[in-house]
Amino acid sequence: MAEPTDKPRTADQRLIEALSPTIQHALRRSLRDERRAWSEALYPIMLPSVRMAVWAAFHEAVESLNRLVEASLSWRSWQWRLEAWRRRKSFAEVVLLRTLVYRVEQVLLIHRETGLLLHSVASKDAATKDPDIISGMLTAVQDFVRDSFNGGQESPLNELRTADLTVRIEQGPWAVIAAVVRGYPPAELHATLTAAADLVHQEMAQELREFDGDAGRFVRARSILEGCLQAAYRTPPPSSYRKLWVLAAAASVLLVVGLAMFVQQRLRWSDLAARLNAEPGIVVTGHYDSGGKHVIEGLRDPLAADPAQFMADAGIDPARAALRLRPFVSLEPALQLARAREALSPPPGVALRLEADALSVEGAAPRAWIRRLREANLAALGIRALHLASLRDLDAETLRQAMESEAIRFEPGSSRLSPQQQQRAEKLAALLVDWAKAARELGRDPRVEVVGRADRSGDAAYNLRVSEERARRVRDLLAASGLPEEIIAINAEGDAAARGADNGEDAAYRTVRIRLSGDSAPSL
Amino acid sequence: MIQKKICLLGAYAVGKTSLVLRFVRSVFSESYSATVGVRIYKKEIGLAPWGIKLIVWDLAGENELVRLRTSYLRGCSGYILVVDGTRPATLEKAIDLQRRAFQTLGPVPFVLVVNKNDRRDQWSIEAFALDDLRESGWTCLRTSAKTGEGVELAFQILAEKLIDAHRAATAS
Repeated sequence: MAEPTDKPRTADQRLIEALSPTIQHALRRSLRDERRAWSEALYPIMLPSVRMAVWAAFHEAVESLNRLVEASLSWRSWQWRLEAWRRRKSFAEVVLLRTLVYRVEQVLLIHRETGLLLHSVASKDAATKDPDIISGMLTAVQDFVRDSFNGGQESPLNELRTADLTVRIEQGPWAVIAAVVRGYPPAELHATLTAAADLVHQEMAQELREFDGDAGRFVRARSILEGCLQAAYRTPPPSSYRKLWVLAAAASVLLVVGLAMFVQQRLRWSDLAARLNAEPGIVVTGHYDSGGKHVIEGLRDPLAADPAQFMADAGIDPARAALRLRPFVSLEPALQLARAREALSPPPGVALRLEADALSVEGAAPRAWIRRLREANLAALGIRALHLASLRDLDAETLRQAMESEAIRFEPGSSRLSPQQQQRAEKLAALLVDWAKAARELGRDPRVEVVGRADRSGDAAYNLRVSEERARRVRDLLAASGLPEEIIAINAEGDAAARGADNGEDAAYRTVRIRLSGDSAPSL
Repeated sequence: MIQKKICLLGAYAVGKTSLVLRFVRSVFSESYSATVGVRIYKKEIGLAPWGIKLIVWDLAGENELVRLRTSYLRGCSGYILVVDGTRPATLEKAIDLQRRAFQTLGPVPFVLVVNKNDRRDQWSIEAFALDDLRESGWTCLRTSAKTGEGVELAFQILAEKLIDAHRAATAS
């Protein structure tokens, strides 16, 4: 009691010393036995910083890749250029190949029992395959390995490898995570995938157990899967020895190029002027030496070919030339077409052709673009006619297939629409109205044939009547929904399909289906 | 849109791959190439939200050397048994396969199709041969992968059965 202020501290310290081993032991044990609970608790704290670190690493890698590409005179880049030329690949491809350590291109979450795809993500601009099919095939391959090499034992296949692709597979009790990796995946990726599989099982345990074919509930897994889309690029180690080489190579290349240019320059100037003059949208009015530079004077449409490219092709140093080309608008067809292309920005799969001021648009395009095209001010582009006969509406084709596979069903002997079938028919009607409108906008002649069918339970005359009543019922509903009546035809097929069939009483014959025509381009 | 895995089962060269190619891609080829192991296709039927996405596992046909791997059936929601109308033995094989599928999967929906209806003149399976099966509740259809006859319908009937089973399961 002599030093009351010191006493509690000492007691505290003693208490800490006494409890430390027990607490440490308890913590260690808890960490060992309840890993899930710990990782669940730590996950929200750890993940953001992990993501930041990954992002920073990726950003740095991209930066250094850019530097590499820009430093076109380095010894290594000349090696790569030589390799690109030898292997007939583009320089960029070789750079990627030589600097990419690995990249996770696609991550799939697969239901283990059925092999059905629950969710998938892919890295930007990676050429990925249909994830539904990959899921199925991966599951089949695993089944095959299990059957063939393990006598039915539970022994998961962890990795598949081809020349430049690796598929890493992480097994969980209900679901499997598969990562498609280009390059050589590091050991850490395994830990990332394991963590992702654990997390999916923790967060979606109930959904996984109850999975019945509805993958919509697994959208939540997206952020977890995206965390696995990692990549790393390699940068060459800098060395003074290399730098010397770079300097020597640069100096000798410059010397050789300079010497050659000096000799050939004279001849090339007049050749360049002639070639520029022949190019649509460029007019050269004269060229002469002035102040140590060669001046080229004339006119150039902003959409005409870049004169710098001509100089590069002719091996002329752009720094030695002074281009004095004033802008003008050229009416040459090639330029008019380029102007149209720039203004309309056609999607891939669409070709523009210009003949005598008439623009022909060919190929297949999304509907939104076709609408924009029709609203564009084409007169301002010097176009006086628009031909769309060979243009197909991509959205209409997809929609058409879906609509034609739909069937409205009826009770035996009845042409009444049940509430559910009514709903179904109304949705079909709304889509048909859209489809017909889009087809008419393209100057087509859309037709809807409403086909009524009956099973073979009654006699032929009765079945014909029922099938007609069914078709009429749906026709009336379509017309009431705004589909122009003059494009609808009804076709009562009676029991024709059911009579020859083995299961002629089946519900599948008591239907109304639709057949669509007249929306595609006329064939030439 | 819900998705379901289904399988095509049958003896070798009855036209399983031809049926699925006709169904998914609307094509037919006269040439025959045996399926090794399994190939997987997908097709959506009907409009969302009533439609269904079928993941079709086209399994290698059985012969003296190749036995069906029942592990491929795991998680299958339904199947199509394929019989070649010109070879009666393939019907017996289908009945045997159905028994084994039942042991693995239990009572899931299935459809039996007698294929090659375009060669009716060479058929050796008579209509009454299927009557017993129909009486015990089987759905039997005639199909031709070559002309497309009955193919879409067979898959559609199975799809309807799958949707009904799905509704019954979610309702309970």
